[in-house]
Amino acid sequence: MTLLQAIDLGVKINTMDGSLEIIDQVSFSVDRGDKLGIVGESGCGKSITALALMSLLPPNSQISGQILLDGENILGLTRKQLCEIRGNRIGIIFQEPMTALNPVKTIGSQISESLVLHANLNKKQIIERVVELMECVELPVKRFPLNLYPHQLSGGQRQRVMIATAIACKPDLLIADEPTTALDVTVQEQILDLIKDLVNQYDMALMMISHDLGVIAQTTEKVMVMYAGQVMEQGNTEDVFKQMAHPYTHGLFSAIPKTGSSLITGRKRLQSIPGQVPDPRNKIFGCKFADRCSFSSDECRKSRPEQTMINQKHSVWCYHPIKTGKD
Amino acid sequence: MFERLREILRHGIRNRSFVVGGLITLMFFLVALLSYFWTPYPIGDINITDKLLHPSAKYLLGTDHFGRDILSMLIVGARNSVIVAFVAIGIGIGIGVPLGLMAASTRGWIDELIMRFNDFTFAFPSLISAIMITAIMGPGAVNSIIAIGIFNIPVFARIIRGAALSIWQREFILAARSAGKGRLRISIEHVLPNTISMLIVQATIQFALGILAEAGLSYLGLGTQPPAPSWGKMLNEAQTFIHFAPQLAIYPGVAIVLTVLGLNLFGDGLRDVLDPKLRRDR
Repeated sequence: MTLLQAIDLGVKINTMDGSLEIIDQVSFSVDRGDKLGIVGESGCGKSITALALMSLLPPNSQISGQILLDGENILGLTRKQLCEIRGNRIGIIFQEPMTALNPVKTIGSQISESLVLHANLNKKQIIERVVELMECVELPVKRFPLNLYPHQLSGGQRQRVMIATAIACKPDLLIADEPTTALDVTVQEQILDLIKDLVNQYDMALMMISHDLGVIAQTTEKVMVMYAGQVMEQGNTEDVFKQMAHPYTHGLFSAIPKTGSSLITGRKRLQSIPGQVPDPRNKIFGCKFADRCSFSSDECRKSRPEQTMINQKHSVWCYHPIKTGKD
Repeated sequence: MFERLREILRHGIRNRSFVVGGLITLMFFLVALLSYFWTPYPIGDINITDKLLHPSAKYLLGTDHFGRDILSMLIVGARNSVIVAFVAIGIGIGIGVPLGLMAASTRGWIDELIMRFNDFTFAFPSLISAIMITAIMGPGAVNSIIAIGIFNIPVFARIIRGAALSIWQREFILAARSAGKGRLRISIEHVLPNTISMLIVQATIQFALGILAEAGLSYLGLGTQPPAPSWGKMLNEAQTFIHFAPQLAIYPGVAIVLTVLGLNLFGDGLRDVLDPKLRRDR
């Protein structure tokens, strides 16, 4: 059953340089229990997509298209109706646990925030629920009393608090916007495992946003590769990872350092994608990756390629998809 | 809460202006409090035979032209200053802070309206305007409180708006919005607590300015009315005798200067103590 569907989502931000197209015709859908990953490099519009889903875009932005939550377009809702959805039906975990918690409020009060707003509980029940949530994210209340302030916790512990606040009302959809980017690798594993467990336990849909293909591989079943505000390729994570069809996806994968390819011995050089992300001020009518793509032709620069299906769920937006793997 | 207070004191003890200013301020408040229980003489005691006496064992700071005890008048005057400044700050914070928070959270035309009105009131020197208000509404302690309070409103509105605007950009506000909080709730629960230290410091400074303004209005005869004593009024009355009894002007003058200096030092020190970035132990 489709939980959330974005149709032709577009975001423009008005700046002094005119209106910049940040997200362009992005469509995807998330079913209940789905685990969707969005991957792409910095500035490709991953986080803006997440904010758009919660209608939390900066005031100078324009949004077009539709975002349907259980069939209802949330872009047409009033501010009050949106507040009912945020935190209650969609929860979000932000990237920086250091700044996403209010420094002058106790962690207990921050976890209880959405409960106070959305759940029909009395004070005692709220405290019980907060304690339960703390246990869920493995912060036993005995060691971490509710009246601690964020500065008394480590980064990983703060991210656990963030997760507890996001799942407090058992949302249908949990958006994790680079939840582990600010943490070191060992803590990263723990946090990802925790998110995975909680998603299963609470039967939430997960939208994992990351630039790290490893994180995506670990946590998602479907993936969407974005570049400069457009979708390049989408499909089941396994299919996309095994038979990447878009040159950009290919480039992303070759940019992962592999064991055995030592930089010192120089046996195998680490690949990079030449060039830079296009400036959103420049209007590009064709494929936005064309300038950096070794397969590009004139066609690529003239018009944006249509969606090409590789299999039932795997599709790519490219005139010259790479054929790899089995076929 | 107490932990925080203890921490502030621990850092404050090493900050010279915090300690000196704090002690003067504390003394000022204690004197004001004392006036409720004890003064050397009742301030209404007119003893014309003892007029214009120099300090003696009987009258520690001497007497004025009505034979009233100067020390008693200074003590009660302190109380008067405290009340006026306190209530005026209450008015300023009570109205100015919500206005500032509203301006920062709504932006747009409400923000413009509030801030332009602020600019409008800032365009007039506050004492002149206070004189105008008391002249229209009639002189008296209550009216001077209102007049001073009104000119505290834009000060607090502006400083809170400025602080709130930068806090609204912080990520935890986005997190609060994503939890489903509305603008009002965010303003009260997230923005306001983050401005408290700034508010306290500004309140201390406005307190000092309030005392000055009260003294100024009373000096002009627009503030506290006789027989209630006020430092400003004492200065005014001393003016006539400045040539042969200058001490009459010196005592209330010193009291005003010392109090304002103490409060300013305290506010300055408090800002350094509350802001870890400025915290260098001197």
